Amino acid sequence: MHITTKHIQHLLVLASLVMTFALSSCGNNGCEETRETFLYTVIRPTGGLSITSVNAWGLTQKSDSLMLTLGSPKELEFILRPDSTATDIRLQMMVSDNGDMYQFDDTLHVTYHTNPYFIDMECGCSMFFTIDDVTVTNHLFKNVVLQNKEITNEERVNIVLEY
Amino acid sequence: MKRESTLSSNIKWAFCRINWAAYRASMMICLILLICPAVMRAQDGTLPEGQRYRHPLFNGLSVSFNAFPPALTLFGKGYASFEGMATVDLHHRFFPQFSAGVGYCDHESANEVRYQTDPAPFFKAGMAYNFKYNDENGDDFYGAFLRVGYAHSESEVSNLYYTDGYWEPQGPISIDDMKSNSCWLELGGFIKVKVASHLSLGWDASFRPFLHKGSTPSGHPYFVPGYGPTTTSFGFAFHIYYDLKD
Repeated sequence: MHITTKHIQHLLVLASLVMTFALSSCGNNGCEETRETFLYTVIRPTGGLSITSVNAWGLTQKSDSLMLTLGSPKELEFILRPDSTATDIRLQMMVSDNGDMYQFDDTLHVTYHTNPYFIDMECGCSMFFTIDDVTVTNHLFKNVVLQNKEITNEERVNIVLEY
Repeated sequence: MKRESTLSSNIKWAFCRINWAAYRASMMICLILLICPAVMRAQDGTLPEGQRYRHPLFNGLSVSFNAFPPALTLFGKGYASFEGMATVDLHHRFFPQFSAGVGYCDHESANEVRYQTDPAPFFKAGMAYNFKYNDENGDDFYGAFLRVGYAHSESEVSNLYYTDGYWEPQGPISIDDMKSNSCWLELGGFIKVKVASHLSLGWDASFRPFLHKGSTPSGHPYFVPGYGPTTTSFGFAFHIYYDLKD
C-alpha cells in the first residue's frame, strides 16, 4: 500500500487521540503541595545563655502529649489546634550557663482564626491560620515578636522568641 | 518554598511528570510533522502573476460545536463545557475566532471529595492560521491557533477532611463561595476536514498556560468553565463545523 501524507495525518490524529485519552487522568495523581502548616518560630538569644534542648507539649483539657523535642534548637515548628481558636503550648527548656544546667518552663499562648484551604481533589485541604495574638510567660523568655500573622503551607517565620 | 509531603505522592507525581513530558514532546512532534509539509506545499500554488491569494478576503463564515467535553460525560466525567465557536475565513489564511459557552462541574473524587461549580459562562477569542491557504483544494487544511479565554465561576467543595498528625482529625469540612476569575492562553494546532457540502470536522490540540488561575483565599479552582480540570495544561477539542459558504 502506498503511504501518502493523508495517511500520515490520520495516523497522527489517531495517536494524539489515544495519548490524550490514555493520559487524561494522570494529572489528578500526586500531591504537589503540602497540607502541613506550622507556626514557624525562631529562638533568639539576647544574653550569654544557650538552650541545649526543648520539649514542647500541646495543652488540652484532657491530656498533654509531646509535640516535639529538639536539641540546641534555633527554629521550632508548632502545630496549632484546628478545632479551636487558641492553643497553649508548654515549653520546657534545658539551659546551659557557664557549664551549669538549668531547667525552665514557659507557656506559649496563641489565639487565631482558621481558614480551610482547598488544594486539590487528590490532596484535599489544608488548614491555614491567621494569628490574632501571641503571648509567652517570662520564666526564660523575655519577649515574643509577631513577624508574620499568616500561617500557610509556606515556610515563613511567624514569631520570634527572645531569651 | 513549598514542601513536598509524602514519598509515595512524590513518586506518583514524578511518574506523571515523566509521562506528561513524553506527551508534550510527542504532541510537538505531531504538530511539526503536520505543519512542515503544509508549509512547503503552501508555496506550490500556481497563481496568476500579481495575485497573492487564491481566495477572496471574505471567504465565508463557519459555526462549530466542540463535541469532545460533552462526549466525556458519557464516560462518567462529572464536568463539561458546552462551547460554540464562530470563525471568519479571510483569504482562507487568517481565521478570527470567537467562542462562548457554559461549563459546570459536579465531580466526586475517589476519596469522596465533592467539587461543584454552578453553570457559568466563558468566552474565548483568537486567531487561527491556515498553512495551506493557497492550495487548489481548500476544503481540507491544517494550521496553528492562538486564543485567549476568560471565565468567572463560583464553586464549593465539600466532604474535606484535615489531619495534622497531632491534633484530632477535622471533618467533614465544606468551603463555600469560591469565586474565581480565570484567564488563560490556548496555543496549538488544528486539522479541518470537509465531510459533506457544508459539514466539516476538526480536531485541535493545545497547550493552555494560565495567565491568571483565579486562586482565592480559600484555595485553587479545580474546574474552570471552558478550560476543564486545572490539573492538566493540555486540551483537546473535536469540532463539528457548519460552513456558511457558497
